[in-house]
Amino acid sequence: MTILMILAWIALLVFSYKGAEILLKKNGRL
Amino acid sequence: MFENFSFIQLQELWWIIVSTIGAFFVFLTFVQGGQSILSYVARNDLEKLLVINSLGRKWKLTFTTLVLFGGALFAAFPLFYATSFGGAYWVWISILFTFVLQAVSFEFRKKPGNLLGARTYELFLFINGTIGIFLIGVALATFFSGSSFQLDDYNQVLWQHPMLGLEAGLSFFNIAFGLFLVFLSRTLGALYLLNNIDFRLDLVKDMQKRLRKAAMTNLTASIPFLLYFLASLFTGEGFAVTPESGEVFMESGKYLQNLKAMPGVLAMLTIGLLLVVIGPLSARRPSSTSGIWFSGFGSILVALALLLTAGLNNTAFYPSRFDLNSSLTIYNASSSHYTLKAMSYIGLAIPFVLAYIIYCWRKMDKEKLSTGEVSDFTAKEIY
Repeated sequence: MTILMILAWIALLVFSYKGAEILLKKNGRL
Repeated sequence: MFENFSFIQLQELWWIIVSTIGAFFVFLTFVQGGQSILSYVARNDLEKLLVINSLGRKWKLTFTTLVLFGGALFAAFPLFYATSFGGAYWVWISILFTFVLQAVSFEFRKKPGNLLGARTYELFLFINGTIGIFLIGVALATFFSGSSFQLDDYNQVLWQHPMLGLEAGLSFFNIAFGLFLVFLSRTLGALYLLNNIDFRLDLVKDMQKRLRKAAMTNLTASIPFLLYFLASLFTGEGFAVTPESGEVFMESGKYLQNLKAMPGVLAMLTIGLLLVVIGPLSARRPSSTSGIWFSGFGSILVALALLLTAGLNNTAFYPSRFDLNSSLTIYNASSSHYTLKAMSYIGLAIPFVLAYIIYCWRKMDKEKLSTGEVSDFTAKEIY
């Protein structure tokens, strides 16, 4: 349970960072 | 001077002092943010040396501010300390463990012949910068979302979940605040490094570009979590206290009510959020290095506004969802009138300590950190 929870945190962290990067690149702001 | 203060006034004064220390800690997490973006912004040994030494000059300030925050909470609101540290054991001990990793890393990363090697210590710094800050965010978010505990007649805490505090990481509200803090610290870290390192040499020009990108990307990544957190906070129920009886009850829109009742706090939150956004935007200009002061001051205002919302205006700052009347308020969790009065006199020394910190900071930052300085291995302090 704890391990699954930690994996979910990491996934959220990575996906949101990558998402932000893609969004900014698409809008020419990076 | 403090003789004329009522017990309630002293309790409120100490909540404001504790909140201010907590707010400064949030600003100083730029050290953790810098650690967590290390592998992205620094691509070779020279760049790594610059980043780690720039952060290395400040890491103890963050560390001691965290200790001061815990210490002031312990002295002013001992029942909170006893309840939270005893009950939510795993979340606090995990946070402390990541800070032990940080201290060890700064101490031993460059020691010759160490057992683990520089890369292991860099991983430790990353763990402190992400997991450590995330868990602090999760723990602070329980000030609004509550925990599962009950206090018996002797104020002994009976925690009602087998994960002893880590269950807070299962709530998306808490996770959102934790991730917001992680991305905020990374934004602050990038802005601080932009300000603190001397980028005149062509050798490190690329790192400067990567830092500007990191500030913008991390700010953007933080926004959805911040919006979710604020929307849930201000539209949901809160833990209110009846002033006469001390009884705790659920009130819809309680935290929004608090902002309406304390317009100064609302102004702090609004101005703070604006300043946080201005920092990375200003850093997009190639010559700008002052983004850290906008976002840094902004993050102090935002954190202070949130902590004041959690504890003032008849609100339970450490609520229990399991047993509402075990919830802690600044009125039932504080030290005695005499202790708070004595502490307030000692607190008069705070401006002197603050002045000393500002003096040291200015001395350290008189000249920007240059490549020459970190390449000089005869230097006394090299991280």
